[in-house]
Amino acid sequence: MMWRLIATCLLLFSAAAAVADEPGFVPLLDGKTLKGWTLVHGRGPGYVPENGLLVCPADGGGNLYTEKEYANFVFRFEFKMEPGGNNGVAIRAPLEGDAAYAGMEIQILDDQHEKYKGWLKPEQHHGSVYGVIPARTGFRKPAGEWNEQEITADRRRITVKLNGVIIVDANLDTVKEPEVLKKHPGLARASGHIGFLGHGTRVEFRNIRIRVLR
Amino acid sequence: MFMKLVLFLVPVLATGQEPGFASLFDGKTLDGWKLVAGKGPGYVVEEGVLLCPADGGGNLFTAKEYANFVFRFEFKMQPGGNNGIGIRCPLTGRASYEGMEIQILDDQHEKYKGRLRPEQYHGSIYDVIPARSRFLKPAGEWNEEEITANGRRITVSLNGVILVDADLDIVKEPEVLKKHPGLARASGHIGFLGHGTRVELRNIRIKELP
Repeated sequence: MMWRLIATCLLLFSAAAAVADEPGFVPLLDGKTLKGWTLVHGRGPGYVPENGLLVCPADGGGNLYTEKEYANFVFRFEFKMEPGGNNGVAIRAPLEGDAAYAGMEIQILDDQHEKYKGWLKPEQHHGSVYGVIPARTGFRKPAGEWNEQEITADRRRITVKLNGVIIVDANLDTVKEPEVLKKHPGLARASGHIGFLGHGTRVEFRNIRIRVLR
Repeated sequence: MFMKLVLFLVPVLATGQEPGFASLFDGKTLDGWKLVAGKGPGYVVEEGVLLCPADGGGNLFTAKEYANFVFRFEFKMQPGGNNGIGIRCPLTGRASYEGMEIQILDDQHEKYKGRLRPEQYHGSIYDVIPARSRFLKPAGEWNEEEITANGRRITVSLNGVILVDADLDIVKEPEVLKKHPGLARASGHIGFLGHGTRVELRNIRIKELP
């Protein structure tokens, strides 16, 4: 019992230390309210703060954007999906329009779920710059487990790290095809809102934080 | 008549406009190439084209080794075609692991539907780095490809579109590095990795980088 208590204390302590070990990062969610966020095209209950988590319920969703705009940044968060879960992180997005095209969407998807088998293009798998740059696969924990993700947008370079593994490291300037640039005007944007793009499945988020790059 | 003449001249001029490139295929023989683990007829030369017949294949490697280079070629596949370009390969062992394989695959063919991981699509560094998809011309048409290996950076262009632009040093996972020791190699043979489908190759040329 005593050992369990000590172990729990150590775990709590190391979690606190981990946050303190991230100089320059500020939390984007207070764990209780949606202060600093704005919901666009919300469905049902939208997004709900729950026990320190940000929950997108299966009957909720829509685009939950930061009120502030960010240009260059390191955005870190943890996520947990139900089986077949689908969400996405918008970056450099305007508040209006389809974020995956008008901005960029870093896909969040349980792409190994059988309902997607045979339906996905490489650029639709988890971590991809949706529709444009495919991510390395096979590094996501099973549905129901927490994953750590980091999205770095530094001018024209977009890097996505999942559980410590670099799954995207892209120079957006490699995308030159007129038809792709026309379909994805967001690739040219230098800044915009960051947001969660709910798609009718339960996804939980926590520990959402950002460090702004110059 | 004049247009015909111009059309005929264009390819000649294009080759002339590639300074530093040397042809790796003389259009008549397999001089400078070495077949390893050949199947059936292996690779044959037919009307100036290097052909991997459906009943042939194996690994056709350059006799020479290359470290940093721009490798250009054109290819045409039958529907469902599957081949691959070995780079920085040893002559023995599975090229996609002991070296690297840049995948050549008619990945839109129905026989692959639901069976491919992103890292198996055309242009991918096989099993490691996925390529952007859907820039292949339909099976039966010629495609132009360029593979640049320069230090730790591998770039793959297909029909002028950059499909892969990867820094190999982003791959740090011990299990991946163990499975793919070839990622660490600095040089080796370049080769065609035939897989039992008909693939035609032509205009094979290389520029070595310092």
